[in-house]
Amino acid sequence: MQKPDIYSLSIVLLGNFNPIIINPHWLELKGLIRASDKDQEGIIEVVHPEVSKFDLSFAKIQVTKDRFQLDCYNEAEFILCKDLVISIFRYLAETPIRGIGINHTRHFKLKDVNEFKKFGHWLVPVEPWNDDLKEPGVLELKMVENENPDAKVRNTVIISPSGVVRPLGVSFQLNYHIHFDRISDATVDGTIEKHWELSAVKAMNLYENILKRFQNE
Amino acid sequence: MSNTLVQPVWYEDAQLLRTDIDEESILTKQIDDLYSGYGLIDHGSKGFLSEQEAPSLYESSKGFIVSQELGYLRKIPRYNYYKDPSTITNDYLKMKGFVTSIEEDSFKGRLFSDDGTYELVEFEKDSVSEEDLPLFKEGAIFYWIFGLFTIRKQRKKVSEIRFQRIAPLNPNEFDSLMDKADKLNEAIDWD
Repeated sequence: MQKPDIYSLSIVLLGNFNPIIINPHWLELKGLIRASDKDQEGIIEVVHPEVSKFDLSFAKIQVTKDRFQLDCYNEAEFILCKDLVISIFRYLAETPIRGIGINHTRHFKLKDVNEFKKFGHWLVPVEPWNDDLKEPGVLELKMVENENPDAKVRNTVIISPSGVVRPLGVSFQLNYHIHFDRISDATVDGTIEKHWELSAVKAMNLYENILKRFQNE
Repeated sequence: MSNTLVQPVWYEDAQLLRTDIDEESILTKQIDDLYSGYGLIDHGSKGFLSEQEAPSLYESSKGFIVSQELGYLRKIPRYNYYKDPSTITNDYLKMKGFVTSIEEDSFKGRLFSDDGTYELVEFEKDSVSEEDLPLFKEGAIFYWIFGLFTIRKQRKKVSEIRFQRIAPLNPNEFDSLMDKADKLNEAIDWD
């Protein structure tokens, strides 16, 4: 199976946040990062009551009043990101959270233009569009699971051209969304611990299965 | 930071800004996610945002945070999530373990693989970062990350020991875990 060129992770929490609290100095004060993790050129972009945005050595963090997001491009350091998010929300345990996303994105390269086009056309046949659009192509495909009001998790797959692996790169993303508000007595740390491996396995299986089916065409 | 005044408070303007950037799909996704994330518009809608609907702060597609303060908009350059991630790897080994003993110049530990097997290892004390020394003691959990990293486009072999930094459980969670452990213990038939 083709190994992705880049495997990135994004942990997203939806809820009500106080962005100004979550900043590199607070993380260091709490002992959650090394001082050197934050001592990088130009890391703090903005810390403001409405947004906090900064880089650490292993992650990028952005917090707004309704969204916390951590991004990491280095697969070897995903575990540090998990510890960090768990720790932040142990300290901020009163934060109202609605949902948690553990999103896995694999960027991989296809061998040539023909295969690149073939992949897009295999995902979404262009025949229905040929009469009305000139050389139609797929820009982004989003597949979602049927919304089930009882489900704790909803998976969404987004396939699009990659912005980091270029040219001929494809981004294959699984948004593994946990309906945190549907789980009684849930804690952020316990929920992330429980779904960490499940989301990773789901993402890997989806990626491998889709590519396998494409290669068998 | 730039204080350039900018006009866009409408989604349509954000769409127009896309034309000078090539990753249209990515940017479209960013716009949609950000706007729908702020609860401003329905996903895919291209309607104007009224002044009441406009947030005091939002992001345009051009990669800027636009902050509406004191009656004008301030444009602040932001990093781009999607270009040139500073550190990447797909060729690495990561193991988690704990310190079993500390010698004069070295320490011993037990490192676990993902499959649950473990090996006994010995590292030089020098391999512990000075910043991690306060965490360095018997029983401390650490990660050993080894691999070929691309750091700002330079390929480097990296071998790093990082001690786990994690907030303590709150007393309720700790009690709950202990209860579970007790129940599990009671359920085991030791015969």
